[in-house]
Amino acid sequence: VKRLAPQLGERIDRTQPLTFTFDHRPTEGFAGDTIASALLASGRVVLSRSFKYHRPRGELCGCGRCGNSLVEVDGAPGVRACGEPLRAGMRVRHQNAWPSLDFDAMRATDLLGGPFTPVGFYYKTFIRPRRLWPLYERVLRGAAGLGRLPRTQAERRWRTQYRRRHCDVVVIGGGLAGLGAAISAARLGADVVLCTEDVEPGGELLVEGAHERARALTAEAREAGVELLTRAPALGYFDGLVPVWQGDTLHQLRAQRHIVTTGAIEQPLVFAENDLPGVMLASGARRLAALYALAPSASAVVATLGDEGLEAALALHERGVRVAAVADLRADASGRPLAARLEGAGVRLLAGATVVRALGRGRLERVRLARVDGDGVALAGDAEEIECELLAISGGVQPASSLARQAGASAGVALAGAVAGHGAAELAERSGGLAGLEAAVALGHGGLAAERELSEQRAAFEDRAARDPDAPVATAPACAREHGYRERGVAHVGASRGGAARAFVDLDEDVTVKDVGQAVAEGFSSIELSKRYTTATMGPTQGRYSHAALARVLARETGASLDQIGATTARPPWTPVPMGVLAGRPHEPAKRSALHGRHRELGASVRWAGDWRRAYDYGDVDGEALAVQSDCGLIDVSTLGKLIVRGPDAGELLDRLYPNRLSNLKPGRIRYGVLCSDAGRITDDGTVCRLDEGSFYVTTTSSGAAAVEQWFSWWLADWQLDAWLTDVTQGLVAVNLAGPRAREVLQSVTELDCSPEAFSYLDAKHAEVAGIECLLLRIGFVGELGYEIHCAAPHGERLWDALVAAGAGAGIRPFGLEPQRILRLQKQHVLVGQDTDSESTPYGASMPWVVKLDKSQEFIGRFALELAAEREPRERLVGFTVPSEALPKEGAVVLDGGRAAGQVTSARRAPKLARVIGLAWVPARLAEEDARFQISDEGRTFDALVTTKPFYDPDGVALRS
Amino acid sequence: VSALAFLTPGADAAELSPRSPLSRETAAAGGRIELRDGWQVTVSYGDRAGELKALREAVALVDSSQLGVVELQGGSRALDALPPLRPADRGEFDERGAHERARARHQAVRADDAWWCRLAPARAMVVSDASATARTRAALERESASGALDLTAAYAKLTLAGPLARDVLARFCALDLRDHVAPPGALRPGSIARTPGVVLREATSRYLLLFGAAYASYTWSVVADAVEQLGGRPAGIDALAEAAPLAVAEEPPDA
Repeated sequence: VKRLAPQLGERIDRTQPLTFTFDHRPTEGFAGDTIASALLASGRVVLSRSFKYHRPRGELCGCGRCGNSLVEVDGAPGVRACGEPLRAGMRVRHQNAWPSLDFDAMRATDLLGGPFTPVGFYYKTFIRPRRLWPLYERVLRGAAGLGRLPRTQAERRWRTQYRRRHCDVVVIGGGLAGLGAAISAARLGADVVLCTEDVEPGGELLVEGAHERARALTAEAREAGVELLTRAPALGYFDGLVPVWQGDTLHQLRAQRHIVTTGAIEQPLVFAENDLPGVMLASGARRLAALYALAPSASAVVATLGDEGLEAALALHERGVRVAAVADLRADASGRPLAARLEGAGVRLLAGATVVRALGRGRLERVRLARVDGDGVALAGDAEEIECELLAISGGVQPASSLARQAGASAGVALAGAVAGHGAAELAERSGGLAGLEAAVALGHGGLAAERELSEQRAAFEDRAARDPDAPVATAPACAREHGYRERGVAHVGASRGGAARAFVDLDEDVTVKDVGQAVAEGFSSIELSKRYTTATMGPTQGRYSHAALARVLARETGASLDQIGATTARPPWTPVPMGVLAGRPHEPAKRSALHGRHRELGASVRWAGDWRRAYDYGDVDGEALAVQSDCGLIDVSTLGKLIVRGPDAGELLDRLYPNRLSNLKPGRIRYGVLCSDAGRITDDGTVCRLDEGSFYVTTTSSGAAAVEQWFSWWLADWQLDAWLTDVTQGLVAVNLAGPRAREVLQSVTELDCSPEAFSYLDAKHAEVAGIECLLLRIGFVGELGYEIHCAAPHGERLWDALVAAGAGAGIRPFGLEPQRILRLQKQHVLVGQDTDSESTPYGASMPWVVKLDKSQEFIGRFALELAAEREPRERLVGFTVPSEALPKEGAVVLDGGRAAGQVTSARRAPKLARVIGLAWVPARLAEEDARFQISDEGRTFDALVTTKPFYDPDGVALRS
Repeated sequence: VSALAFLTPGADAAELSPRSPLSRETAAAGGRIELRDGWQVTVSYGDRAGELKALREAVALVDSSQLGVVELQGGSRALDALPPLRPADRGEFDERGAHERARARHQAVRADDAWWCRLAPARAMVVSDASATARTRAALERESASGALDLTAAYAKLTLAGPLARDVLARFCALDLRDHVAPPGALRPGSIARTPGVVLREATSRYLLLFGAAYASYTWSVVADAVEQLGGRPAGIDALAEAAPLAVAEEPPDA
């Protein structure tokens, strides 16, 4: 490969040489080069090894779409060398070859491994003996990798992020149609974003010598206010959301109108050894010559099915490439104007001929051309070999309609340009302009003048259609589907199924004509099944260069027409994208109490509890629990859900929601309650405190706060009561001061009379604590004398500090979630969600006292609870002890007569009691004091004894003291 | 003492003055905290010039958690009685489509050192300067039929100001905040870094973010990361007041 003389519109800057390394060797290129163009210029033709057979592969597309040039760049695998702009100092390495790119030991798979790797081999071979699968898997994964990710986070260089962008119109594609659409919409005042895969908009103009026109249009678009996203492929269409990948950013484009101008993709031909380095698409060869001034040192041959190949041959010739011959499958090719121009230029044209085999050792050295019959099948004994370094192939173009097909017939999606069949430059620009105009007018831009212009342009299109019935002029999505496969209805396959040579249908996945034939023979004849069985179209190009070939081969093998074969479902991502880009920045929302910093300073271990980060313990679970029972402890319970219910109907609302009475609660008093579903099942629990005549303060479980707030809101809206609900969970800090000396500690920081007479169990008081306005609730989840103290969160740390200081002489210790769970278990206090499930009723949970069926008020779940009250529950929640002191896991199975009959929901070793205690669901007949049952836990089986009363302070003396 | 007084952060003694839920984060970033209007407020980060530069040329994030928030609930008639919450033209208001009505409703009005935000027909929020919170709350308790609830502590607040403020928001917030969709005064409930919150556009290049106080640390980490990536930095309220002051009073939204 050589550099041509400077080309008009070339992208490289020859005054700016750049040095980079390829496999540790310094290599030169120019600013504006891609990695691949620089490597080609340096003489390297083989850029990668194939996925399965490790065959040498060279440049195919020249535009960053194919999978033939995947390399590792600065540690990031899977970078397409043919699209990645060159930067000074880049460290480029080959991937998927060992020990080197030029000598790959795994090539043995191609030479010797055929019998072991037939199509669908992973369903057939490497299965027995089963015990060897781990070894097989390791070897196969190692052999078939597309690159290796850095092993550690530190080795990964990227940072990724999202960018949300709302706009009026998104134009996908930066060719002539896309620019036309963007400009016409933006000129009318629409907010337009255009995204293109290339480093600059312009599309084919850039390689057809019209680069000045392309750059002028780009400037015009910018001037009109269009936001241009370059090197930014659209990944899919998700109900109006178009994710666009640009470097380290995933743009999430949300627009009211979408215009798809993704153009058409030239297809490869299928023939023997069609993957030999030196075989590339005609459009790619043109692109390399035009933008990077690259051409083969020796001659080139062009093989084509249509005019695209003839145009490419002419363009290559005009840029100084010696084109030895052009093989055109069409028998009547000689009569075409382009053929006359070629022959006038001295290029030999073989009409009714095609390429049947590429030849060479490791790279293309010559091609074999043959005449074809009327069906496009090569005729034996009429072959000619021509020496060449480049074989430019053109198997027709296929509209790049994947995104359009993902969008289906969505309103607000229009097509323009080649993807809609408007391939000619003049037509593409006009169809783009019309689509942009339609979008802007539909959004109310431009007024009457724009509507008039739209009418005129539509009329002009209709007029053109009338004059030239073959010219497709519609811009509806349906049009693209219509033109998806029919326009080139030639089922040309120039390779036979026999012989040792491989003819590839899909270069990404190393799928051959023989493989597809085998799949059909095995019954996988539909294109969807064949795709899955052979993996054709599932590689990095997402079927761009294999879908048409697969359909054509299937048509030949099955005798069906291309229409009958159909197309595979278009799915995102249209362009392969790193998972890290999809993931974006790692955002993990976490709630933290206002005391979180204090807990950290005190050495707390922090764990997730619902969506909160909570202090699990302070390093001494047993010591913390014992301190609460001997002296005094302090725990942060800010995570409890907290709701304010106000208004004239607040009591009525609560009466309808809870199974017990709350409207008769006196101001300053507290009552426990459970919330039930319509089916009478427990959904949450907590306390209700009446603050004054019109205000209630409701607490919920920590993890249930949001659900309870929604539940209340739902019913409030439905019943239209005169009550208002406000979630104040995050605005308040709550601490529980508990233990025999809690009163003494509290009294030292408040003027409130804390005596049992003045502040009794289930009382609520307003008072200043350490100068901070607080609500004090005399309740105790841990079973000791306790006060829940609530205050505005900004005062939380001061309240905590004041209590800790006041309790220093009373042995106060902070305690975490785990000690709290031990203490509540001693009292058999139920944790909703842990000890209950979706089938638990208050009766089964041994809390019948919480349901007041005698209240006149209707309430949620009443009917179901009335039924439940009439029947003995099949299971009951009971406490248990384990004589053997074996500690069962939560979830361990309860056995009754050797059969599973329930489960353990909570179990701990209680330090104060020095025994194993727990809660379990057991058959109702076992819910008696000292009844015996068995627990089966991971191979162990041991006895347990039922305890129906709290293990500690069963009469609640300490709690009420 | 009101039965709901424990919701209100505030104290007579300076040493008991409330702290922002972001105070640890701002302090870790080098913030200098001073007592202002009864709150411990991050007034600067010791580099006034740098803070002003970020506010004028890039973007800065400012802890504004001292702002008061009072919630009003009740019948729409009760809220209509408060002039800043009253629709400018009732007849035209009712004739518009649901989308337009929602958009108009989500337009805050600046009056009496506070943003008056009608979240729903029967729900409103008043976001006041710290100096005006007590006065505003007292007036609302006196005038509003439904009573007012102090939710100052329930929200953490961050101000994003500077020409790149909207670009920062686009990193973690999918709300459409383009000029013609969300002009100054626009109020947009929505997801802020995957948590529920409200964005209030206070001026062309100034946004107030209100989100749950328990998410303060998390949200700061997300926003600060995005701000830093775009060349911004934290700034104190003094620099904010100098570089991006709020208009004394803005016209009610065009009905």
